[in-house]
Amino acid sequence: MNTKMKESKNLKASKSNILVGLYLDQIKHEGQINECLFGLANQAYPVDVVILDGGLSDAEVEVLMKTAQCPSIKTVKTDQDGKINEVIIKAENGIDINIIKTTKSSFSKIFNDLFNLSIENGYEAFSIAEVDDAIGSNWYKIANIYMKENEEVGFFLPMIRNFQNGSLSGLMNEACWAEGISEEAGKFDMNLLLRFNCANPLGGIYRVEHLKEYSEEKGGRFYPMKESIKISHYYEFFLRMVYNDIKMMTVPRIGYDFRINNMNEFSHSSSKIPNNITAIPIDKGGVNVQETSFWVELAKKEYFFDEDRNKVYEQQSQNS
Amino acid sequence: MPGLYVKQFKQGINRDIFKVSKKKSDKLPMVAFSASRGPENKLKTYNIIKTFYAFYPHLKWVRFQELEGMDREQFAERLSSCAFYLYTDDIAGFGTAPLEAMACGTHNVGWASFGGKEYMTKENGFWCNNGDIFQTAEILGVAIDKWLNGEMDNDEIQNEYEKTLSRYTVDGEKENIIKLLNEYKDERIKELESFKK
Repeated sequence: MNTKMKESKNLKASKSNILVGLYLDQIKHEGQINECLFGLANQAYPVDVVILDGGLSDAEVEVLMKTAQCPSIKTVKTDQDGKINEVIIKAENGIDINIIKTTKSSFSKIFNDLFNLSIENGYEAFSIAEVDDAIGSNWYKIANIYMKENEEVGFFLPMIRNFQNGSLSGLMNEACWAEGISEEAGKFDMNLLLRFNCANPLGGIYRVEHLKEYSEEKGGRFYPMKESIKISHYYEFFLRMVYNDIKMMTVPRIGYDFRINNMNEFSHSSSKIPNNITAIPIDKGGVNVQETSFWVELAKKEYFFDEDRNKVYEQQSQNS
Repeated sequence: MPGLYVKQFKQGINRDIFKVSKKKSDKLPMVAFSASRGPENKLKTYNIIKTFYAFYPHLKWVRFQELEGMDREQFAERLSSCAFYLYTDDIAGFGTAPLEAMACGTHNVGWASFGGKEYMTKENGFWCNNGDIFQTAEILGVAIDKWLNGEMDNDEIQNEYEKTLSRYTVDGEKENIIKLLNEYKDERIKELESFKK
């Protein structure tokens, strides 16, 4: 078990060229992290994992370390007599995690942190996942094959199974493969992205070199995602990258299970915008209808600019 | 020998034309099909496609590519770029297309027609009852889900295809037919010699 705290150098635990990052500011229960770590531990292609600790207590860090040693999942199996039994499946390997302290974060800041960690540690690509989700055990293997075979492509997104309140509601990132939707099958383009906000950043792998060119640099730190934009941060990011001719494709393999529930509170450290976000009180992370449309519309205007122009909702509404 | 013309049979699969694409990423999430047995066959095939979309709304983005009006090279190229081949020939005397698909690393889903039973096994394709539209649509969805989940990315499946294909090589076909004709020739010579006596 390899756990490093409060340092960002020497993250490389293996010869892997991919760094996978997760943000955690609380552990609600052990099961919450078990499935995600199980997926990472069982990867057919080894990846290095970093946890961005946004305020875990010592007890929570202990739970995290214990779980990482032997992640497991629970499932049910029917025996010969038709009796349903609960079965625990343990991961074949433990997982080496690095823990890096960070401040309470927004999704765009987490993304930028990971990008900078990848540069500092010489990774070819990085990926971001969320802790409530599950990652397919073959995903990084096939994504890495696609990355090697397609030098000109910068981002490789998985097909994502979208579970809303526990039931499968469809796939995500698949639109670019549909007939007549994008100019080149499997690749996102401006027309498609401007018509639909249909790309999800989770589980995708991002080539560091491709991103660096179009990231704003301030004081030695890169900002590929604009931190001032709320809710539509990744939409603006994808628009800007595709506008700058970075190729982005969906690998036709399901690599990620996205789970979202209606909730009473929303943390902006997550990229998952709940359906009921406008019903959540503003002090609990909710965003009203006007503000939601403001951020989405802003994304469609701001992608022309590489630098973050720090637009603020209140100021805009006063001006308009 | 006068009157004996050895024809090179096309039963063997030409691996110079039908070959697995070098890059994994060249395989697109598409289903190739060729409904070339007349309007009735076309109707049945389109019904499979319609039923498939009705059964699996989450796979509405999966495309179908009709392989029609192409020369052999184009046919092979398109077939090789598709992840699946939907085989809907219910009256085939043999069925070369599924073998060509296997040679291209394209997975077969379709009808186990009478002639194809010579080589169709549960290891080398998703074979359904001949003419069963609903079963084929359902199995096609199952197969695509398996492929999307990465369960068909291993080499074992291609090895199984190669095992099947090893019985249908161009050289093998040539040898077989020459052997067959030689046997026929020897029998005739024997027969003629017996007349002399």
